[in-house]
This record gives sequence, structure tokens and C-alpha cells, in this order.
Amino acid sequence: MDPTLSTAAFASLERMINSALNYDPGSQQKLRKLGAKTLQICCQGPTITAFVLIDGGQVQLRQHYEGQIDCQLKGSAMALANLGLSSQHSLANSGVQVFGSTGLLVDLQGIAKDLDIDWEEPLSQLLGDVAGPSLAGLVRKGMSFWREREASVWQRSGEALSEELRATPHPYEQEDFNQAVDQLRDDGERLAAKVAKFQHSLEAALSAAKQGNQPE
Amino acid sequence: MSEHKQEQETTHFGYETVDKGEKAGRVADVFHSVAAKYDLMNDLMSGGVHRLWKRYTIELSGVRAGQKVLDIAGGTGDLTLKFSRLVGPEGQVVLADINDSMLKVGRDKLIDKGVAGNVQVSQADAQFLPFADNTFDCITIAFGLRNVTDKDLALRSMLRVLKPGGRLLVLEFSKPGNPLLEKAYDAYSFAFLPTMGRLITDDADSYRYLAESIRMHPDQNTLKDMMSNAGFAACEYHNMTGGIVALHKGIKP
Repeated sequence: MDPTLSTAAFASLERMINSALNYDPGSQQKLRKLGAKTLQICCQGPTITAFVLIDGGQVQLRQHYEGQIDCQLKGSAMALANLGLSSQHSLANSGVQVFGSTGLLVDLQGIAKDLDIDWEEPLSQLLGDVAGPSLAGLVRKGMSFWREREASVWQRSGEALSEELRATPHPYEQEDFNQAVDQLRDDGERLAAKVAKFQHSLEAALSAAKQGNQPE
Repeated sequence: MSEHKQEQETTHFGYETVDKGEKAGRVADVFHSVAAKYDLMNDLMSGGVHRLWKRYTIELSGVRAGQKVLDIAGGTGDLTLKFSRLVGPEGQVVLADINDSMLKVGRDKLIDKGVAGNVQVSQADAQFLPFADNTFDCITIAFGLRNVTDKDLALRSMLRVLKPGGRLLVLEFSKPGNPLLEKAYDAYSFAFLPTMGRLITDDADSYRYLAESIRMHPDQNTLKDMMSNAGFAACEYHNMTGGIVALHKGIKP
């Protein structure tokens, strides 16, 4: 990718994150408490490397960085996006590898989850002192409504798909199936190793027999 | 023999061939003329993209707190401003430019933005840098090398004042890789730029020189070879915006 495009994307994202933080002093304060930290994100499909530099409650995004890294994340774009959006702390079965300080990752995930932007100020600046706060109130109520129902919506949708419609397997069934596939793969590899060992022994025995039959 | 001698004593000023002694004065006139509206024109001419080119340069510089940086042809101080924050109070940034009008604009802009303490301003010729050997951890020259009379001499001068292991970054207009883009870029440079220059700074000639000087500047591989010949190691370049601009990097061995 042309560095101009990637730099533009990084600059826009950085500006967006810092604007969001400016309108959520609580999250900014939590970020400030982390001190100077660097997170490296290695996306392996597509191949993109990003460095997230945190210092003084602000975030810098870079494509190149030569200093010390506190935590490194490796995974596909989908796995990394899921990690950023999910609320679970465990990395098991996430498809993401972590090197370095996992504490930093947990802290950042917590800050991202608790991000609560005060829409009143930016909307007031944009629309004025009357329309801005009214619209901000509506946005706040809408977000609060969605947050309250988000978990149950996902849970009920999942139940409807797997139990009522039987369109998708239940997570437990999926997990059992994955484990069975893993077991089959391990068994297959063991069998291949045993066959190779047997073949090697047979070839050695045949070779020894041939040498024994040869006239002196 | 006399032809060779004449070649050695002349250089390019845009598409004109001028005596080497004459180029610096004529380039100075161009920048005296455009200094006051240089930042505005940069934004208009590049659509703000020059900020992205400079941001990428800062990233590749690898500059850290406490280091010494020389920003040659630093003009209105865009890179110096960013470097001064990166090196912190323990570090030092020297904003150097041969043109005093550009330096005055740069110095005032930096003061207005509250940058002080770790920045020094120096009127200096890139060919004869007035600094001790092995002084700087990083040297940048952004959109300045093409205006230098003797580029090889300037590169050797930069090598001298860099510390071993220090890096030089040359951000400069270059040659687009795609023929279609090159045609569009030519049309833009020779029709649009001088018109815009006339409307905003009442000076079409300076912006015609800008377009011509870009065409006369060495292409990516030639500049890379020039850096290697001057003594830089691990020379490489990164094309940006389809090669309209290239960022060259070299390390002092």
C-alpha cells in the first residue's frame, strides 16, 4: 500500500481516538495512569503492523517504531477485531497470540469497554446551546437503551438460531466437534508417524537380509 | 575539455542553465518572494498531503528523547515542531535554512506555538554546514535538496556532521512510476501551479520554477546512488503518492 494512504488512515484513526478521549475525561485519566506504554499489533492477514503509543492520556498510531514494546499482539484481522470488540478477558480460542505484558492489554480492553463519550459538548459546538444538549440527551438515552439490551439481544438471537431454527450448532456442540476434529488430526499424525517408523524398520530389515544372502 | 569545464561551472535553475555562483541568489529570490504565504501555498498545492509525507518522515526518523536533530532547509519549521516534541527538553533541534525570510517565518511560527528551549535557529548553507563533525543523530532535508547548487557537496557535508549510526532522510519530489499519473502531474504542475501562484502570491514565476526544478531533480535511483557515493550505507527509498514524492534514507557507517 502507498505510504500516503496508510499514513492518512493512521492519522485519521489517531485523531478519532484522541477526539473520543477528549470527550471522556474518565477514560483519558485511566489512560494517563498507564504512563508511557507501547503496544504492537501485527495483523497477519492482511499484513499490517501498527504501533500504539500511549502517553499522557493521548494515543499515537504509527507504522514504524524502534523503541521498546510492552505488549505484542499477533493474529488475523478478524481475530484482532473480535478481541477488541469482545468483553471477555480470556484469549483462549481467540486466535490471537500475545507476547509481553498481558496486563496492559487487559487495562486497554477495560478502558475501551468503559468508554463513555459526553456527546453534549461536541454537539453543542456543532448545533448550538439549545439543539445540542437535546440531541445529546437522545443519543445518551439511545446508547443506554442499546447497552441494556445488547447482551440479551445477542443471547436470544443465538438461542433462536441454534435451538428454535436449528440453523447453527449450539456453542457446546461446536466445541465438541472442534475437539473431535483436533483429536482426529492428532490420531492421524500419530498413525502417520507409526507407519513411517514401521516402514523404516522394514527397509532396514530387508537391507540386512539382502546383505546376509550375498555370497562372500 | 572546455565543454567539460563549462559543465562544471554551470548548473540548473529550473529549465535554465546558469552559472553556479548565480543559482543561490536566484533561489533566494524565489523563497524571499514566497516565504510569507509558503504554508498556505503548500496546503493548497498538495491538498494538505504534504502533512502526510512529513508525518511518514518523522516516523522513519526513529528520533527519540534526548537526541540531536538537524532540520536542513527547514523553512517554516513543520518538521522542527514535531522533532522538538520528540527529543524533549534533554534533546536539541536545529532549524537551518539558507534563506533568512523563511527562517524568520519559521522562528515566529515556532514561538507562536510555544516551542522554545530545545530549538535553535541557524542560517546555514547545506553545502557548508557550520557544525562540528559527528554532531547529530538525525538530519532531515524536506523539499530542499533540489534547490541546492551542488547536491553531492551537500550530501558529503551532511555525512560529516552526522554521528556514526545516525541517519539522513531526504524528502523530495521525484518521478511518478505510472505514465498516466506523470501526464496528469505535468498538466497540474505547469498549468495549475503557476496560475495559483499568480492568484495567491502574485508571483507565477516562482511557482513555474518550482515545477521546473522538480523535473530537473534526480530520480529515485539516481539520488540513492548519489547518497551511496557520498558515503552513506544501507540507502533505500520509499515512494509516496505514486512516486510524486520519495523519501530517501541513508545511515552514516
